[in-house]
Amino acid sequence: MANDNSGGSSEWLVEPPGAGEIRVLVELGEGAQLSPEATASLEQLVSAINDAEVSGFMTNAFNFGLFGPVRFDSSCEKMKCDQHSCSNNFTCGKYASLV
Amino acid sequence: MKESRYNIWIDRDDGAYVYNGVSGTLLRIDVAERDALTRFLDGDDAHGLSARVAADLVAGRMLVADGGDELAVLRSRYERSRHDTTSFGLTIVTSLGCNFDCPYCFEAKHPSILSPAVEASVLRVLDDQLPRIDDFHVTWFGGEPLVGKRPLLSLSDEFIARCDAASVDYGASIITNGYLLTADTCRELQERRVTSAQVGLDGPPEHHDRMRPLANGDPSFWRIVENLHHAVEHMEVVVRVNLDSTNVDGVEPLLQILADEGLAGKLGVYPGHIVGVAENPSAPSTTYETAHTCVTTPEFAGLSQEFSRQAARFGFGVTGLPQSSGTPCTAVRANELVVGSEGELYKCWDSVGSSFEVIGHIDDYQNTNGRMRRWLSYDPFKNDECVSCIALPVCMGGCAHHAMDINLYEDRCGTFRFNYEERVSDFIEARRGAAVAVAPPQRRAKTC
Repeated sequence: MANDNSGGSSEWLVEPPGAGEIRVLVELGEGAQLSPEATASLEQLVSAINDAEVSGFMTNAFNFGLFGPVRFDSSCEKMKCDQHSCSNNFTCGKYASLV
Repeated sequence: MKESRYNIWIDRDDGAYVYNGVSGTLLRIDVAERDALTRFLDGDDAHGLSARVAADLVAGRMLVADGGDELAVLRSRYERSRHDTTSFGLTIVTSLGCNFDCPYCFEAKHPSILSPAVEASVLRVLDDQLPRIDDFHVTWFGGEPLVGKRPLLSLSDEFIARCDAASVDYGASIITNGYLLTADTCRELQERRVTSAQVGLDGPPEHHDRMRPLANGDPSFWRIVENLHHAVEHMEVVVRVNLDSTNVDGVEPLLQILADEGLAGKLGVYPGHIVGVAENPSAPSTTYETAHTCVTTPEFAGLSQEFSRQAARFGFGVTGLPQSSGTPCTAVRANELVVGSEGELYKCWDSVGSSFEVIGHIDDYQNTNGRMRRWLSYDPFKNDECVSCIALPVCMGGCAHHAMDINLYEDRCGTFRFNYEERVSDFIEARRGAAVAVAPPQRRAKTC
C-alpha cells in the first residue's frame, strides 16, 4: 500500500472510537515493497474486518424485540380518553404539578 | 484501497482535513500527503503516501478495501440497532394535558394524567424486559410531563429499585416547557436520575410569549429563564429554539439575554425546525399558517448554521460533529415504545394524542395492530436518495414519520445533508481557535 515509511504528518481532531477497536499495524523496512500476494492478503484482512462488523450485527431470526411474534392482522381500536384530571383545560392560570 | 464515499474534505492553509461519516472521525494531513493520496488512489506506484498517514486514513475509515461495501456496513448497523434487545427504551407521557398553548403544537391535547393502573402496567412490561436487558432509558414527555409529576416520581422510584436489583443501568431525560421546573422539582428529578432536560425558548419575550404562551394566554418567558438557573445546577440542560420565518430575528436577542443571565457555558442551545403537521385534525399545528411561516429544510440548514455561529460568539459552545448512528429514532427501534397517558401505545413522538396512530395498549403490549408494520419495516436503504446521500451514516434515513408522509417527505432530512461542508469547516475553525468549548451532539428531537 504505502511506499514511504518515514511517517508523514497527520493529526486527529476527532479520533476513532476506542471501545471494541481493532488496529492492525503493518511495518515495512526502508526500501521494502509488498509483493502482490502480500498486498492482496492485507486487503483481504481489511475486508474481513469490515465483513466481521456486518456478520456480527446480523441476527438469524427476524426479531421484533418487545413485541415477539407480532400479530399484524389484529384489528385496531381507537383509544379514547375518559380520565380528566383538570376540567378547565388548564385555562384558569393556576399551574402546579399534580403530585 | 479506495476512498470512502463518506469523506468530507476541507482544504485550508494549514493542511487538508477529512471527516468521515462512518467513523465520525476527523483527521488533518499535510497538503503534500493529500497530493500523495491522490496519486495513490490513481494507481501511481510513486505516490509517496507515508505509511503512518495511510494507517490513519484506514483507521478513520477514510480508506476502505477495494471490495469493501460501506452500504452493507451501514445496513448492518441499522438492522442491529433496530432489533437490539439488550436495551429497552420508553417515552412516557405522564400528562397529555399541557399548561401551554403553542400554536404550532402537533399534539391534540386534553387534560389526562397517567393513572396508577397504567403505572402498574408499565412496571409489568419492565419486569418482562429486565432478565434480558443491560440498560433502560426513559424519556419523560407530554403534553407537559411535569403537570404529571406524581406518576413521573412514583414510576421513577420503581424503575430505579427494579433496575438496581437487576443490575440494569437506568437513566432518564425530560422534554419540558420549563415552566414548572422549580428548584424543588429539579432536585426531585436529579434524585430520580433525570440527567438531562430539553427546555423550549422561542426567542426573546416578544417572540417567545407569542409562540409559547400559557394556556390562559399569559407570558411564560421570564419564569422559564428563572427556572433555568435552578435546572443547570442539577442536570444537563439544552435550550431548544423552535424557528420559523417569524422569529429568526429573535435568535441573537435571546442569546444575549441568556448570556446576560450568566447561563453561557452552563447550558447548550440548538435550533428546532417548525414544520406543518396536519394529520391530526384536532392539533393546533393543523391550522398553523405553515405556508407563510415555516421554512424549508434547506433554508433551515442555513439558519441552523448561522444559529450555531451566533451561539459560539455568545459562549454557548460550538456544535459538535455528527456521530454515526444505527437508527434515526425510537419509532423504528423494535424494543422501544411511546406510552400515552391512558396506556395507549405509539411508535412516534409525533403521534402522541392522535387516535389514528395508536398501535396498541400497554396492557396487551405484544398485540399490536397493523400500524406497527410500517414503523418496523421503514428502510432508508430502499430509498435511492438516502443510499446516494453523504449524510446517510449520521442520519440513517432521517425522520421516518416525515419520510412516510407525502406532505412531509421533503422535511424528512436533517440539516447535515445541506450544510455538511460548513459544519465541518466551522468545527475545524473552532478547534483551531481553541478558545471555544465544543458542545456535545444533541439528541434528535422535534416539535412539530
